[in-house]
Amino acid sequence: MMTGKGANDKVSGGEGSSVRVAQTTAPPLKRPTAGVPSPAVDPWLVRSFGSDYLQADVFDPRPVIDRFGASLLANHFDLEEETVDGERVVTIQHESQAVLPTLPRPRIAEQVIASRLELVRGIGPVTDKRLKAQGVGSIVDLAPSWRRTQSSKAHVTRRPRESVIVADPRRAGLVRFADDAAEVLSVIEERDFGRIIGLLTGRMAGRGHVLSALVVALAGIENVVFFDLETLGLANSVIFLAGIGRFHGKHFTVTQRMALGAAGERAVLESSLEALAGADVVVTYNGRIADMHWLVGRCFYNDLIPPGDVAHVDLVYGTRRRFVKDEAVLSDAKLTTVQIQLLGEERPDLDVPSWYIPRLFTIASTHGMEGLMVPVIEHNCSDIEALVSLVEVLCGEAVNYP
Amino acid sequence: MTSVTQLLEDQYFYRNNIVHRRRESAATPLFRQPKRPLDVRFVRYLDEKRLELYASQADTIDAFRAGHDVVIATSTGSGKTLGFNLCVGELLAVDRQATALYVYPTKALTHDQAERLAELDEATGLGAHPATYDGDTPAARKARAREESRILLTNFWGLHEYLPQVSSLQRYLSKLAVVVIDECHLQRGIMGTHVAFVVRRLQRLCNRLGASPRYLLASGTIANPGEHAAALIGREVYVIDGNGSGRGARTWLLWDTMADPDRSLTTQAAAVTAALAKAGYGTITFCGSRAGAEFVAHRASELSAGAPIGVYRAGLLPRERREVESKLRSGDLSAVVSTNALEVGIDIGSLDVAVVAGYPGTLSGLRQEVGRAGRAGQDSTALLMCDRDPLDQYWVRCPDALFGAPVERAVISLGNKEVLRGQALCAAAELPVKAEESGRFGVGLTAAVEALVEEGQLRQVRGAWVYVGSDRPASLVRIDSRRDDSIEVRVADELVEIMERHRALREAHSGAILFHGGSRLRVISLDLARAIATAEAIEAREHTRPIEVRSFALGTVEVERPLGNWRISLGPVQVWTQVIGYKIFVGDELVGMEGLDLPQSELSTRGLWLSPIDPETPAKTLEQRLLGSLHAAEHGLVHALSFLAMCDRGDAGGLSTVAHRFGNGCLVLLYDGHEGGSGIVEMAFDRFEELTALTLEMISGCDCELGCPRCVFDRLCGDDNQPMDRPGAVEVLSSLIPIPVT
Repeated sequence: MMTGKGANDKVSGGEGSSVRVAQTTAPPLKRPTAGVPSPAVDPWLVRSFGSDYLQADVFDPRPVIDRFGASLLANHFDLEEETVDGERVVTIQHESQAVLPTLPRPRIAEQVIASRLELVRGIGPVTDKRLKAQGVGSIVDLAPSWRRTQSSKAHVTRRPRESVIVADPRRAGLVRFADDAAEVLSVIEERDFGRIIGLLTGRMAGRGHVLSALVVALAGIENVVFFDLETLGLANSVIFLAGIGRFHGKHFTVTQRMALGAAGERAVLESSLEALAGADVVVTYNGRIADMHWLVGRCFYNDLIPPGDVAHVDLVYGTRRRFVKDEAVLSDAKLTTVQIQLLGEERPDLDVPSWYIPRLFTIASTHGMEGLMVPVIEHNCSDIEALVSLVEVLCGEAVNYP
Repeated sequence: MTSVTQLLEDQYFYRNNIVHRRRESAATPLFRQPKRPLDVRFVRYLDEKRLELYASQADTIDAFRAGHDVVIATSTGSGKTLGFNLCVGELLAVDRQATALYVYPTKALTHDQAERLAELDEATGLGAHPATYDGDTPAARKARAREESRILLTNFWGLHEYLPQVSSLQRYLSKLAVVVIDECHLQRGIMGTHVAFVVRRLQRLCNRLGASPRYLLASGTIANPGEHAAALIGREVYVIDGNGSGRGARTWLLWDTMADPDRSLTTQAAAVTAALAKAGYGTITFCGSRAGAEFVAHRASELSAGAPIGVYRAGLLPRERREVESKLRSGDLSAVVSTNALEVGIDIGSLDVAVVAGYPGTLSGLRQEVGRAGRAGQDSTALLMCDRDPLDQYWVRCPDALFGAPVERAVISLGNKEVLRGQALCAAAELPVKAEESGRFGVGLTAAVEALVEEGQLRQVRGAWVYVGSDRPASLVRIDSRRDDSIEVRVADELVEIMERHRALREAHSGAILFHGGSRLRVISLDLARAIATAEAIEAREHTRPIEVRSFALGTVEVERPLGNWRISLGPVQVWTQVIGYKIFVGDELVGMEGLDLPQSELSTRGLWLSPIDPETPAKTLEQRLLGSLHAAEHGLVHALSFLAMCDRGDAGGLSTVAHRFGNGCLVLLYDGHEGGSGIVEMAFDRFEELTALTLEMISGCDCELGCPRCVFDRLCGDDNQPMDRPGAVEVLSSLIPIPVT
């Protein structure tokens, strides 16, 4: 997270804040854990979040404490509770208002992906341009011998014969692409989502990330989980909350498992692993260097088998590419910015910035104020819901992406 | 060509400076093959490079093949690197999945060695893709190294940072078969203690991943390579200390700069360098600091009438360093002046003379430096220029000690509670820490984790301690002795030294003259809030001495033993110091005094104290001379201790008094200059007889009456070196050991 250049959600905060944090010289290993922190300079935050924090607004937790400090989680949510190694772990299910996104039909998604000649090894921007000029419009045109298997439900069909100008690829010197083109088509046909994402992001870099959202359309929305973790810090720290969103028919459910102490982490991880194992694709925002990476690290720490090679669509790269780099629609690619400026959504009332969540958790557990987790739970749920809307937007962009 | 001695004696600046001359005869190399022949690929590699294995290299291979962890403690230029590279290469050739880790003390050395390993990899088709993996490595290259490299090269700062990211290093660590720690004698004191724990953290992660790497260590010449290596890795180590590499004859010349008090060390070094360069001797001159090296090179160029002289110092780009090296080899440069920070890992071919301007602080450092001359087996000259300091002057008076068996010991302190606490925190962030791991981390582990639980950093979960903090622990725990409040000494924005705060208050206050290598720096300002002391290089011969008020409190005695009429005790101590001003001297003459308004500093550390069993005895024999005698003994012991433990003068402190309520009247206290202790006083307690004998040797030969800068004076003495009674100190110290040294 610290390596990300500005645009990510885990360190949020608006531009142009008036209060900046000065350099501090706090002694090592001692951070204030007791008492409500001052909203001004908190050295612990500077150490945890480094220069990102210096650019962030200073957050005043007192309204949150005033409103939720004396409250119980059960006052706000329907929850199931269990005790793991002496510490409480709660499970909350939200029937979300998120609506079923309108996604391209799998056949269209497939054709859009197959139209990207650069997915074939050896085709770069120059060759791509030349081939397009020769009338090669799809990878299918490069693999004359490729036929989809009978059992396949894939829709990568050859286009009408007359549109294939290159009747004899051998003569046009295209034969060298035929094998790899057939390979790419097989990967798409076999619905090998992980490899499709790998091809898109590996061979097309930033632009491939925009297209990778189409994998959600390919997989079918019911086979996708939307995933977001909350942790105690940025570097291999305890994961205390896992939020998992999933469509059942038209209904979107967000299931959150939250530990109220470190001992419950294992239960949170197990829920995550179970959810990932039951899905074809996982969607995150900045999860490549954060959520999924952390999950692997914490599985090692807790002696759990890490998730297998689950196909992972990380929306942050496509968003940054499309809406910050290609067209400056957004000022940055933080999820909060995306929600407000792109999706026109509102953040929850009394939203807690991501960078403050570990601190709030510490205050909550030190002072027994479980109610402080209410805005954290809502924040996590809101993030997950935003992923659903964002997938729809990115798929729309991908279909017409130049 | 006239001999170096003759040449120097004929110079205009010569003032009978050469006080000792000794010839070390040439040694014939002893070649041997390992008991079982090397893999044919390595044989071919050696043939192509026209290399034959020395006996020590063959022994290393045999011992490693037999399953031992090995420390190679042979002399400079004996081919240690080739020895362990062959061991590693053979292992990686047999097991195509196996990986190896090389840890070096500096980045520069890491890069040099990466090149050598790449060459070996290429020549033998090992497919190990050696890659440096440190703070300078771009993220993309790191990612590739994690994927494909079987040999990673890094430093301990890096390893400390990378271990918490174990999940991304899983492939590499799960196959880790061997860890190479080069120049392990440099891993001592607080840094060495941290290193020992970093190694233990590495071990437990590897064990968890099913790997149990073996160790190959290389050490400079120290008295305890086996003991030290074993302390670092936590298990027994097989020592290779024979030699067999052979070398040309070497003439040692000891040069006393005090024979010409009007010329400073650097001025004399420049003159000597210029004379040698002019006469056509390939010369390397080592200086203690960058500023000193630059001055010497500049002055020598002026004096040498056109003989080109280069500088070789930290901060040069690798390309620039290569350029200096190749110019030296081709003879385009007649001489080079180097900082001794670069004593390791210079490839400059064969030179005729090594000039060492000022004793570099350790014998192993000195040997490393003079080993730069005569590498091709030709005869060479080593010229040690001894300055004013007691240790330098000890060599002038007792040159035999320079050539005897090594006495310096590398010391670490696994009992340092502060270090253990930090390392336990890092370990708990990598994997939950279990109580039974005290076998690995030491008996203090439980207390350390309990303190961390108290602080809210760890929590007990299912019988193990897990990290529940938010910070990146490695960023909270510095593995060098630098603390968060350490002061950086800067000259024109260049960092020249980092000092702990309590030391900076004494040595780097505004107006202080700081000795850095062979040069003097004047501190312009000390900004405690920003933790920066700004200094400038000066040429004046003045120096300063702090005026301070000190008090101390002794903790509970942990262990004690009688020694003649005295008793030595070991335990925790606290020392409070307040610098209230300083005195300015030119030579020995007091020329001024200034007041200072500085905060008091407090040091909680480890100490060793000497007190009489019968309080009356010393007072009776020495009467009014008692305080001066104890004071001189204290200074002498501190000087000898910094020599024995290979530490800087500021790493050990001393206090003496004749009116202490705990000390049965009088007391001499030696304390560790680092918070929590770095192990030196424990070593001194165990070897107090050796320390005393060495001190006597250092102070008894001086021809002064009561004490002088060459024996018992200390330029940092807070009491202005008063009162001082060297003969009294000799009396006290002689009574401590059974056979008094004459």
